[in-house]
Amino acid sequence: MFKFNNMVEQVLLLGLLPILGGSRDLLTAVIITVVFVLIALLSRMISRIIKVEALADAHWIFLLAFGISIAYVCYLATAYLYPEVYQYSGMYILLVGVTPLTYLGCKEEVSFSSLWKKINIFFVTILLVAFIRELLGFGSIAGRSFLEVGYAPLSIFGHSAGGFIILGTIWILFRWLAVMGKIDLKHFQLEGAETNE
Amino acid sequence: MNELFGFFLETIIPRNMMIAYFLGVVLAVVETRGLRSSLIKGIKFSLGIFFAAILGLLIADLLVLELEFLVVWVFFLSSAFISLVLIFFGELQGEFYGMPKFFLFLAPVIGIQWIIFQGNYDFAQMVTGVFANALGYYLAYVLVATIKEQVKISEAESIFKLVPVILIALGVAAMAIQGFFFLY
Repeated sequence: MFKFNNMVEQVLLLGLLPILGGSRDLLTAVIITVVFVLIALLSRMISRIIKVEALADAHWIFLLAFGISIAYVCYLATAYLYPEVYQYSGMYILLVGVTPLTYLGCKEEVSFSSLWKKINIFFVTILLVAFIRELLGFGSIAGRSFLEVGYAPLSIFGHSAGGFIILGTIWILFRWLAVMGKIDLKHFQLEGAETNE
Repeated sequence: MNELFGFFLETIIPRNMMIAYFLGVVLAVVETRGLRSSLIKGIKFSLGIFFAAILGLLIADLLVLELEFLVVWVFFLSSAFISLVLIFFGELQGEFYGMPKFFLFLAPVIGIQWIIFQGNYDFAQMVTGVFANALGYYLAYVLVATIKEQVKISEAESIFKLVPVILIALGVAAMAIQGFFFLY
């Protein structure tokens, strides 16, 4: 049986909540990604400054407290700058602060290039899901509606069902392309300490 | 129908925390082995969500208006405390794709606390909402365990195994649940 244990699966699983919750439309997806990148880079920087050995496993709590503080500031900034995003997806901005994927770069073993690759995978995935959800669910792209009067969009894709189905379909498509040899999985190999049984 | 009972039913099914808000999907996907073991595990996680949410919301309720901005840290600390309790009882141990498993418990709890907190409910509604969310989570958790077990033993191609198919199945469940909205 083909074994799926690569970086894409890791990113999709650890970042499942922001990908599903933050993919309502393209603007939300971009804001969620900006918050994610900001917290990921800052927490990586902090993790290199603090003495992890001295704090033992408590360093995760310290980093989480820092991350959720940044997420809360971003949440409040979104409420001020983009009220519509805040109204529908505000909670997911806050929850980026406790998403495991955000703190993956804080591990000693994870190189910066690997973290950057994961950020790109996250961005491409959330953008793809958001594009399809917005297109099918609201009949618009980046807020610009193009459906004529009298034509209704498939609103179910704008709801949670759409998020689940579209992400699941993209995931299966990625696996199918990998099995067919159209995608080289060598580019998405996991580093030593990150593999999963 | 009593208003509180209506709120209770609405929170369990149409506004189910896992299906409507995506909270706890990763925890359910990762922490389910077989259906039988998940029946017990699910109770532990649901109780964890219930007590963490009640603890966080009660402390948040005690905060004066000037200190209300601290609620996020209160919610975070209460969920971290209960995840430590769960670790003590043998759950959420080890790592998943390189990250400690207790991370997976934080997002659903903080999410539920935030939803209830934003609702500005009174005490009875708060307890009812948290209880209904914990119960709804248990039902969705068992549903995920059932789907996972069926997917594992099926003869489908490996590309259709596990998480993507669980997501699509949850999507179909979400569509079915939309049908209950006419009741409310």
